[in-house]
Formats: sequence, structure tokens, C-alpha cells
Amino acid sequence: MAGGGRKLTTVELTLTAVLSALVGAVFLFWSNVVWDLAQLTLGLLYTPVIYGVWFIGATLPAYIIRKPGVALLGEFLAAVFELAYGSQFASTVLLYGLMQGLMSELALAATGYRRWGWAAMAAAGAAPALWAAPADALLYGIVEPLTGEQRLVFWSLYFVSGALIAGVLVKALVDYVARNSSILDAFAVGREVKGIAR
Amino acid sequence: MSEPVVLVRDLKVAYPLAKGYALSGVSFEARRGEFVLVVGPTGSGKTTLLLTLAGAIPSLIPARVEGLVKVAGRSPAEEGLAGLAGTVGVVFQDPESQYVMPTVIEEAYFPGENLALPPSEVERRARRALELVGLEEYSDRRVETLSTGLKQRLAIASALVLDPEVLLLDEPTAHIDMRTAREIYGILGELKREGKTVVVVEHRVELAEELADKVVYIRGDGTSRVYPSIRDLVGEVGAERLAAEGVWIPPEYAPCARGSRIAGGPGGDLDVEVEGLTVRFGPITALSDVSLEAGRGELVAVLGPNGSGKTTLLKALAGLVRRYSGRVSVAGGPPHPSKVAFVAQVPELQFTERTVAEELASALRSQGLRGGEALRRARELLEARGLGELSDAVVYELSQGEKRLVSFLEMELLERRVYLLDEPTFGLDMKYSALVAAEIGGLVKRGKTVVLVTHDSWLLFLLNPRVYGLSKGRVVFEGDLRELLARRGLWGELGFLPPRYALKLLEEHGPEEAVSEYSARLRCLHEGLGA
Amino acid sequence: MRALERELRELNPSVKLLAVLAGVLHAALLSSAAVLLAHLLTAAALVALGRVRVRRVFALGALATLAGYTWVNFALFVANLGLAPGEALARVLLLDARIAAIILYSAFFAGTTDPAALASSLSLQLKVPYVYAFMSFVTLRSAPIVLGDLENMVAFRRVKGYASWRRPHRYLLSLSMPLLYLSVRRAALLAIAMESRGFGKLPHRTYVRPTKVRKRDWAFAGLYGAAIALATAASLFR
Repeated sequence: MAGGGRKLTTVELTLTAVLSALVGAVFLFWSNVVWDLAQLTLGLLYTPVIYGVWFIGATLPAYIIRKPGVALLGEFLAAVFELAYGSQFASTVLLYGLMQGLMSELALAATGYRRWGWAAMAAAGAAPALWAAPADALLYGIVEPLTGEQRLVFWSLYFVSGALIAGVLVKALVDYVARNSSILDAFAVGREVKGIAR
Repeated sequence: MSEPVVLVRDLKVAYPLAKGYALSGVSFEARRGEFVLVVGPTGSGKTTLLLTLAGAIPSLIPARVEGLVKVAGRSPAEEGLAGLAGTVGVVFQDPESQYVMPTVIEEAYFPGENLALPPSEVERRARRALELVGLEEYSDRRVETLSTGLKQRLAIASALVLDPEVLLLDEPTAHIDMRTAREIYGILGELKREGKTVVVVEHRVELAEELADKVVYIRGDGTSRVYPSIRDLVGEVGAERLAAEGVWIPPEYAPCARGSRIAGGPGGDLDVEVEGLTVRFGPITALSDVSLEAGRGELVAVLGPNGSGKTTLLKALAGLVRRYSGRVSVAGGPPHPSKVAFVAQVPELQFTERTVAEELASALRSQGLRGGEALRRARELLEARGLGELSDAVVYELSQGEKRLVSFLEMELLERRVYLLDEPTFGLDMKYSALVAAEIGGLVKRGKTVVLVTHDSWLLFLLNPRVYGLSKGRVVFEGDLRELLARRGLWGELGFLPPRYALKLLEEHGPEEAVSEYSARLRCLHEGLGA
Repeated sequence: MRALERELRELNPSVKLLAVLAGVLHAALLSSAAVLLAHLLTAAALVALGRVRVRRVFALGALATLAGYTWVNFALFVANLGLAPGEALARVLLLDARIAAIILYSAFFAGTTDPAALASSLSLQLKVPYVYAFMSFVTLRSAPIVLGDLENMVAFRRVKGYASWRRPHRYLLSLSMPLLYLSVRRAALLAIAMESRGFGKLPHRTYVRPTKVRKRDWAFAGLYGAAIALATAASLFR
């Protein structure tokens, strides 16, 4: 009885919120340490290879719970965490969280929240790049020192990174946990992996 | 004449993936203003019972419910948890997982706001609830700055805001020291007098014994029996059998007294030496000028209320605190994680693998054993300990007691000299607490140096160690248990209160007798505790 | 000055957020020196007037980011696009100004906004259903616990001698199961605690301390809008 249908239960809401705290902590580390390191070691052109991590706020809870609204909420709450704990980009982080979450949400809505295979997750993981890539270019001017060709490479890395990290990696991880323990049994992913009727 | 406020008849609850029933035929009733104490071994379904009464099962937690349940004339299974808000208030054991809002007063506003009451009404009820638990002066404080005991009081206040007829509490004092626990039961007593019906699951039975109008004993098989009092329960079932099942029985009900003690004699040279240790985290001073020593093979206990710095002290001994002033010496050198075996308060934090065997194998691997060999040894060890059937169980699916045992075993496999135990009996029933105490006894016998942090006073009586009392980061007491018992003035700031029977023995016969008699009775209840 | 600080801190978070975002967008679209200078000054003024206390860690982080961008961009402008150093420098400074403005606006927003007020404002002003907006409280509330757990997990792994650098993927995997377990458990307990107190029962709720749009918010929006308009005009008449 509990958990069926499209409406989010309170447990699903709080799980999204608690996971977003964890994800937000990772985001902070990623923004403050890894991004700068990557720029220096990989060079600006290849830095977006790490960008996918910033989309997991949407895909992680969404893949576990598999209901409308989770991707949007999760990514936004992770942004709220970043805001509260002092990201240097606090003013824009909320907007990014909202839009990135929305893009992921739209990708999942396109499958009717029914397809959760590798392709669907890769799409959900790559979708937020539809916001992040143009926004970074427009608001931060990040591509100014790159040539036209280089910009294409740069932008495509957003999508590739998103698909791989926020899509494929997240699915693999959650599948592993769902299959090998009872931790996620109460949620949609656990039910699917273990073949329980709703 | 009037209908009972809580009516349960032949209640059966089954979880979706579990085999068998969690509850297989529980029946009892409670009238208005009655105080019901629920006891039983861990895993017997006491929490399931409370969750069903609250309506959380099946609306929030899927499970199959059969039988009759009525609370204040309503059906929890039909109306659900939110539906019963205002009729039923629920309080759980971990205060950290019960509050949502940043400040105390906002937390008290929360229930009234949710039910869309007019603002003045929300305000009035919030302040009244805070007064009831004695938190008015903390209204504008941030909840995270409160001590655990105060947080739990806030949880109770928050459950009272909507003036429920029935209050359900699941081990409300599990995370709290004895002294604060008594205060909380004082509040519950008041509520009972005001006419609230209270159903409490409580391990520390002596706290609730006098208030209880009846005792519901839930057996390991999920059935129940109602008794008028603990004495009747013990009389009919037998103290030893109850203790063997894990039910906490106050030792005064033990039919005998068994001597011998777990000898933790002062060892040879000092294995742990702390001098003038001061640790600061930003503006907060966690430890201030703390000095402590433990000889090789000695058992030392650190006592104190939450927030007194006990865990920080253990971390400093483990070499996990980076910046400190003063001197810390462990096993003849500076502290380092590789020198100690640290048993965590929350076992899940130290688990890295999936199954029990793999977990123990990971400890063996860090000793140098290779993958397959380590796994084999791990399985052998589990068999030798009689825990063979747990080998392939997923650690996260074990009971709290089993998890604690695994975390203990894992640390023992590291073959370290110094053991740091952070509240090892935390959240355990009597059976597993006794097993842990026996493990500790075993460690001491094998010559390990053990530093134990606990707020379980019965454990102190059993082990009779040297005690350091911490209060607000300072050492305010150093001596053995008998000396502590003689210095009543310190008990308050240490959050220490001897168990009721021990207190009685203390007043009638003095500290020496209190320690020996109390622990002798405990040993009678649990054979494994004898040396 | 104190009064001004108080006014700024009590601005409606939604109004502040929208203003700041509008400013950032404006700075990005009309990236001329005049506009950027105006934004830098405005943002700096807001930070100063709001008496925002910036933690040293983040000040250093922000400076490091700026320094990083400056260096990388300059190197790329010269080596990659073949610009003359003088022109490269000019462009780099413009980019720097933009990022600095964004950082300062962020400091202003984050430093003068109470996250709890933001959550209330989301549901009251931006009409987000309260069950979603209130999850911000849950996230913020869970933060110290999650961080504490992570810290403890790493600490215990050190005690156990669980090697981290040799197989990083194993290490991450070893963290994910317990973290998920603890998160699910906490989420369930919080959900029960919240629902038992009526959370989600009714579609609307009372707010004892609501965030409102007051005169000061209109004044702020008006003043800020005027400043932006002036800057735009100034840059057009160049």
C-alpha cells in the first residue's frame, strides 16, 4: 500500500533530503578542491571530464525512488546545502540546482518514469548539461579563451561526464547495493531488483 | 465501564520479506491514565507494536496487519500516522533523528503549524509544551547546541504540543545518562497524573517500574502476556529465563548471588599516559587539562554526561585528533590509529564489507593475510565462537547486538595492545550487554589495556574498574568505584546515578557491599559474567 | 549603519535571490567595463553594508579560484588564441571582474540570508508546496550528522588499516553501503517524527513567523533596478 503510485511519501521525501546533504558535501569538496586541481592538471579544455559529479544530486535519489519530482528536488536541495555551507558561487548555485534538476527530471519524464536501464540513466545524467554548459559559458564566460572547435570538445565533455558519472556510475552503485542487501528494499529500486510486487 | 483508550486484540504483523510474523498474537488494553510498560527481548517486536499503535505501520512502513487495534476509538491502520496526529504522540530513542527545525521554539511551533491552527493557538500550545518539560528558558536556542538529554525533552515536548490522549515512547532513555533519564520519567509521571495514557518500551525497567500499571511481556515468538507488575512477571517466568532472553531484570530479583570478580588489576608499566591534554575545536574547548593513565592489562572507565569530551578523549588516544596541547603516549610512543583497537559506538561506521565473514576477513587482511586465506580463517573463527550461521549474513541486516559483537570480534582480530571502547553496551538488550561485558572481561584476562567509555552504571558495577569522571572537558574525579560511590556530591555533574538496588545497598551497607552484592546478583542472572 | 545592516538582513530571501540573479545575468550579458565596474561596486557595497563576515577558508578559496582563472585564461588567450599580451590581459580582467562580482553577490546573499527564512520564503513567496520546501530544513539539519559520520568512517578505516590509495574504487564502495544504510534509517525515523506531528496532513499550514514582502523589499528592488538601469545607460552612451 505504501509507496505505490506517483505521489511522494514522506519517507521518500526525507530520503531525498538526507541524501542531498551527503551529495551537497561531495559537491562542496568537488567545487573547492577538485575543480581547481583539474584545471591546473588537465588544462581547461579537459576539465569538464569531472563535471558529472555535480549532477548526481538529481540522479541518485531519482534512481532509488523512481517517482516524479525527485530529481528536481534532490538537485535543488544539494544546492541549498552548498549555499548554506558557503560555496563561493552561492548566488548562482540555487539557479543551477533548480535548472539542472529540471533537465534531469525532463529526461526521466520523457520515459514516463518507467525506463531505468543504462541508456535512460545515461540520458538522465547527461541532461543537466543542457543547462550547465550554456550557463557556464554565458554567465561565467568560461569558454572565452577557447576556439570554436575546442568549445565543441569542451561542451561535449559535459554531456559525456554527466552520462558516465551521474548516469552509469550511479546506476551501477545503486544496483549493487539494492541487489546485495536489504537496505533499499522499501524503495522502488529494491522492489524492482528483487522482483517484489508493489 | 468506559471503553479502553488502547485496545489490542490478537494483533499479528508480518513484514514483506521476512519469514514468519514479527508479532503473532498480541493482546492488551489500557484505560485512560494508565501507564503500560512493554518489555521483551530485542527483536521481539516491541518497536513493531508501537509503530502499529501509532499508525506508522502500514501507512509508512509496509507490513501486513491482522487483528484488532484501536487507539482512542480510532483505527491506526486505517487512518495512518498523520491521521492520528493530535491523538497520538510518538517519541523514539534517538533525539538526533526527531527534530527538524533550527531553534527550540520553532520545533515546538511545528506540529501546530502543520495542522493549520491559528498563530496565537500555535504559540500558546508551543509555550505550554515547553513549560511542561522545563525547556522554556531554552526557547531561542538552536537545537543542535542542546545536550542529548535536553534534545530528548524537546522531542517529548513536541509530541505533547497537540495534546494527544496517548503517548508512545520507544526506549526514550537509551541514549541518555541515568540521571537525566530519571528526570524524564519524572515528566512522564506528571503526564500520567494529568490523565494521559502512556505506553513505554523500556529496557531500564527500574525507571518505569513504579509508574507502570501493567506490564506487557512480548516473548521471542511474538506472542504476549500481560502482568500486573514486574515482580509478577519475574515470579511466573523466572529471572534467569528472562535474563537469558535478553529482558532487563533488575538484579534485586535475582534468586542468588555469585561471587568472583573480573580482575582488572593495576598492570605493569603504563601503556596509556595522558598529561595536561587540551583539545580545542574552534571556539569550543572539548578537553581541558586532562590527565589519565592506564597500566598494561588494566581496565579504566571514563564516565561523564554527553558532551563532556569522552569521545574526544578516545579519539585523542587513537591518534585521530590532529591538534592538541599536552602529552599523549600510547604503547610507549605517540598515539596512532594503528596502535589501538577502537570499537565504535555506532557499529555501521566501522563496517567496510558486505557479509560478516568478509568483514572479519578485511581485518585479517590488514594483518597481511591474503584474500582467500583471510576469508577461510574468518569463517573458522565464527564457527569456533558458535556464530557460524552469521557468516554469510549481510552486516546491515543483523540485530543491534549482533552488529556490536561483529564489531568487537573484528577489532580483536587486529591484535592490538590497547582497546578503546565507546559505549559498547549502547542500544543492546541484557543478553548482548552481558556478552559484551564477558568480552571485556576476556580482554582484560588476556592482558589488554582497555579504556572504556560508558554511561551504563550497571556495567561499572560488574567490571569494577578504576574510574575517571569527566565533566565539561575536565577530570573531576579519579579513583575506583567505591570512592565514587562515597562522593555523592559529584554524581550530578557526572550524570551518574547508581541503579536503584545498588543505591539501596549503598545506603544500607556502604560502598564495598554495594559493589560486591550488586555484581554478585548480576552474575547470577548471567553465567557468562562469572570469571 | 546598523539599521541599514539590519534592513539588508531582513530582506525577503526570494526578493534578494531574484535581484542577485538579475544582476548576475545583466553582468554576463552586457559585459562591458562600465557595467562590470558598476556591479563590482554595488556588490562590494552590499557586502560591506550587510557586514557579511566571510570565513577565512572561503575567502582563500575564492581568491584561489580567481587566481586560477586569471592564470589559465591569460595563458590560453595568449597561447591558444594568439592574442597580444595587452589585449589578453584586458579580456582576462573583464572576466575576472565578472567572476568577482558573482562571488561578491554570492557572499552577500549567503551571508545575509538565514537558510530557514529561505525555506519559508520558497513556500510562501514562490508558492512551492510546503512539503518540498520544508525538506530544506531536513537537508540542513542532516548536514552536520552526515559530515560527522563521514569523518568517523574515515577515522575507523584508518584504525583498521583499510588502505585507501591502493584501490580507491573499493574505498568508495566501502563507504557507500553504510552511508546509504544510515541515510535510509535516518530518513525513516525523521519521516515518522514529522508525520506523527501532522506533517503533510493538510495542504496548507500556518506560519508563526512568516517571511513577507515588505516596503523594504520594494525599496531594495527599486534601488537595485535603478542602479542596473543607470549602468546600462552609461555603457550605451560610450
